Amino acid sequence: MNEGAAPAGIYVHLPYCRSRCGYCSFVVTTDPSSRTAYLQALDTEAALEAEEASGATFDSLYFGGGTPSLIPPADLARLSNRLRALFDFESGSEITMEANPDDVSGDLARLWSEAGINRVSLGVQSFADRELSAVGRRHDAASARRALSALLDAGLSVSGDLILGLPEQTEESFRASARELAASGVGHVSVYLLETEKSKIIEEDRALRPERYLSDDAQADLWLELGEILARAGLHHYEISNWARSGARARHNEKYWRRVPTLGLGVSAHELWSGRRRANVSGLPAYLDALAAGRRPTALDRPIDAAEEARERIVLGLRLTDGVPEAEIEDWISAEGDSRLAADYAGWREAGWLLSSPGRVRFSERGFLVSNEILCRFV
Amino acid sequence: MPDPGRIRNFSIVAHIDHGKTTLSDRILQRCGAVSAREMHEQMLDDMELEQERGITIKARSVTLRYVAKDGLEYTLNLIDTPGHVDFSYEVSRSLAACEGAVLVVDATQGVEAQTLANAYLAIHNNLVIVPVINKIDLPSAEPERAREQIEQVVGIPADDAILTSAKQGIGIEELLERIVRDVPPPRGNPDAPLKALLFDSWYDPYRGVTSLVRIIDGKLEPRTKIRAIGTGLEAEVEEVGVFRPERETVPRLSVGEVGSFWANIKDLHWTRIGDTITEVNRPTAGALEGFAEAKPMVFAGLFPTDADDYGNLREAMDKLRLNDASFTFEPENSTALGFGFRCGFLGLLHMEIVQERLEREFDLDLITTAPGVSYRVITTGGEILEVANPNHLPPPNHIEKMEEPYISSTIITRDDFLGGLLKLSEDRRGVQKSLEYLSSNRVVLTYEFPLNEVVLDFYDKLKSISKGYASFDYEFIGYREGDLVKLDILVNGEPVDALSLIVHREESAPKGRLLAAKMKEIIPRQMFEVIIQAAIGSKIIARETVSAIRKNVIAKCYGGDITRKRKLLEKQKEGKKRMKRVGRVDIPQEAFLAVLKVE
Repeated sequence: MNEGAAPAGIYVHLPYCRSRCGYCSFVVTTDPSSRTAYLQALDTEAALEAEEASGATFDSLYFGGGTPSLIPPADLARLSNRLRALFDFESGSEITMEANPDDVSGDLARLWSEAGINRVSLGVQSFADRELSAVGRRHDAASARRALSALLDAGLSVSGDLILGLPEQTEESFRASARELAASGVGHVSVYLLETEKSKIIEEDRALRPERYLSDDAQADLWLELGEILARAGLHHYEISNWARSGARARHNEKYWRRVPTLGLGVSAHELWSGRRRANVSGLPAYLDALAAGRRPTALDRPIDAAEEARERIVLGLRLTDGVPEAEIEDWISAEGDSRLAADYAGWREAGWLLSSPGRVRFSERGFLVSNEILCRFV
Repeated sequence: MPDPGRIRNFSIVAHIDHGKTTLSDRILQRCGAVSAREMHEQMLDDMELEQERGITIKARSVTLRYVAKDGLEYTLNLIDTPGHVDFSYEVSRSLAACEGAVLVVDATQGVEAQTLANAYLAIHNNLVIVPVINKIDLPSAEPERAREQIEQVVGIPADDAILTSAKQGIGIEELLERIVRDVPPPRGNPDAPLKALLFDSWYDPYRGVTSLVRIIDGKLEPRTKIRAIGTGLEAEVEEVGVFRPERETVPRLSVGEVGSFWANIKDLHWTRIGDTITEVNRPTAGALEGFAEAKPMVFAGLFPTDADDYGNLREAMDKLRLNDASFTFEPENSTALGFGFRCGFLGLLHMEIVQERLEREFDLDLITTAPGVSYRVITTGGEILEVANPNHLPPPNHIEKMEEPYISSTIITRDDFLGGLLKLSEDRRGVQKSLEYLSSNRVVLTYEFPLNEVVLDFYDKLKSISKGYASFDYEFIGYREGDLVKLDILVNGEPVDALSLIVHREESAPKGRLLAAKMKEIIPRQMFEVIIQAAIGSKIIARETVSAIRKNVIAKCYGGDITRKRKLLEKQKEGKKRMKRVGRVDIPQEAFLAVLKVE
């Protein structure tokens, strides 16, 4: 890495879950038998990656999944120590772990903290039991509350996730969940909209029993209201789905939107390194076999040329509330030579989907809601 | 030179799917034109599309040798005919080259609408009809009932109808003997000046135009200077031949023979089907009657999905027209769809076939607008205009009156579907001319319809109401005055020209409401509100609103999601690209055929 470049990040995928959630599309397994072999494979992969990353400094490590909170804390500690030995981490690096509320206890929280974890992203999803059981979550609202206080008591920085659009969710129940999370002491909140089309069961259910779901318009209104609820609690919108108190932004995740290099370890993990996007195989056996043979488990490896990079800067950068430089967008549009796009771009600004601050263009809050309509024109 | 006394020229006519093509193939096989091994089904249908759809589009002929039971060798010219209503003019011109027609009736179905239509054409051409009852091998075959129906409905004797199963090869020998016995040999004067009926022609990319003729008098041989009496054009014959079914060069064609010639003709329009061919130096005294030209009855716009394909589309249409003189086109410019062509077709099937051939053989992606008919407009200035494009209609205050094409149609159905079919016919402004029982449960209906009411989806509706049983045939009977108006569809205040329709005034309001509602279903929500209106002149008769899209999905986008997100956005972009834009509104292609889907 170049001297003076922003420190990089490492993502580690831990695919183990106790059960599969109705809305999840990540690479996960509910069979824990391969866990020891998997942790072994991660060690091997890390050693291979470390050669390539020599000279680079890092300031974020992220354990995602899956359900990393299912991994015994001793294993997590060992893995985290191993990575910190192989890679050059700055002091004060952000080390995040995703956790499920019903895995969390006061004891575990302390053990995680001792393992070097300093930030936990907690899948709260909702504080309404009806909604949680409707999508097959293991936890209930009470365990989410217990988990939040256990983590905060252990001195960890906490981010809470919510989902808008869950079956059985009402306007009032969503508002209540948002208010409760904002007041819980978390420094960071992520809110996603339920992707009904990604789960056949939910898609069919919504077609069959639409009364269980908030309408699209109601969801849009609630999302706008959510911004106000969080802002009143001191949580500021900085990325389309993320809000944070000052100084509490997700340092690791921000690298994705700003195209700061990140390595990815584990099955199906992706990385951006040396101007290339790479992805590991998404099948667990293939992943294990490759590393058992000492090979990198790469499934995809493609260079990102200048045009592609410019495109990524726009599509990813517009997710952030500080937007992208106006010149980058305008250069792209004129290079594209599409008169319809140029006209539409003017229309989007006129209609207030896009806002200008000096030299930069960004989405308005209601613009974020329809951002795919606009972003798809930049691919 | 074959003895005209031992030539038999005949066609096989039948309702669709009654087994005509299989029967032709069996005859070819029996006469050694194809061996059983090389015979793949449907030898005569040589266009790929014809074979796939199991229908015959272009007529072809084949010359066969048959040694009859009398020990003599006969030349049988089997002239193939298309089976679909759209192509009935091609049937009639093939029949004009024959002395006999084999009328095939399916023993399980009995007489159907096209059985009748084809039989009448044969009778009109003074042909000897050889009735055949086919598919007798099927368990549901009722040859006796078929026989009765031929006698009662068609009105020809059928007590000695030949029972066949083309599929099993039963009755083929008997049929050939009957053709030799009953079909009269051609008569003509071999020494008289050349007189030949031009009954088909097509374009061969290597040799130019191939013309199919039936010699009435005289002979046709290479180096003869010929003239087409109708068009007056002249050419020198290079080569003559017959199809067995592969083309075989022969020294000459003489009286009664059917064959083809090449005369270095590059333009199919030189050849007018039904024209009389004679010698330049020794012209025949009398021209043959000829046929009325096949006129396109159904019109629709064809536009390339990708505007860059306009040139390719024109080229493809030019090539297609070399082989299909009944297909017409002229440039059309639509604000919604860009540059394309207004095309004329014989009917809906013809339209589908042309579109499919353009897409398949020329690799084009096309948008078709709703089919309509050609109207006759009498202006206040006394001018008579033919208007096939609703957007070319003069302003209402310049129209004195409008006339629309009418057809007379025959529907044959089982009587349990009668109620549904009567209602369908009334809904389509049909006027009942007769209703007759063929047997205790089969009915022949005769109706007159405005053609426009039939071109859209009448045939599909008829088939669905009757669970596929009812059969249908029609003929054009002329223009009649109609109270007609232009119905426009506006999207955010802008008329979408490609959606304009000419409709009967009484139907304009309900049709406008249905169409606007359908458009509301088809047009996806956009970033702004879309207002759809149906209008007649400046009067708005229906209004629908597609509310603005408020939200997409807001999903995670971390490391592993970036590639996936990109794919999703690309898919979304592709979807947008396929839509057509009117003003700021993106309209999916299917909207331009929405009128076919209302009701």
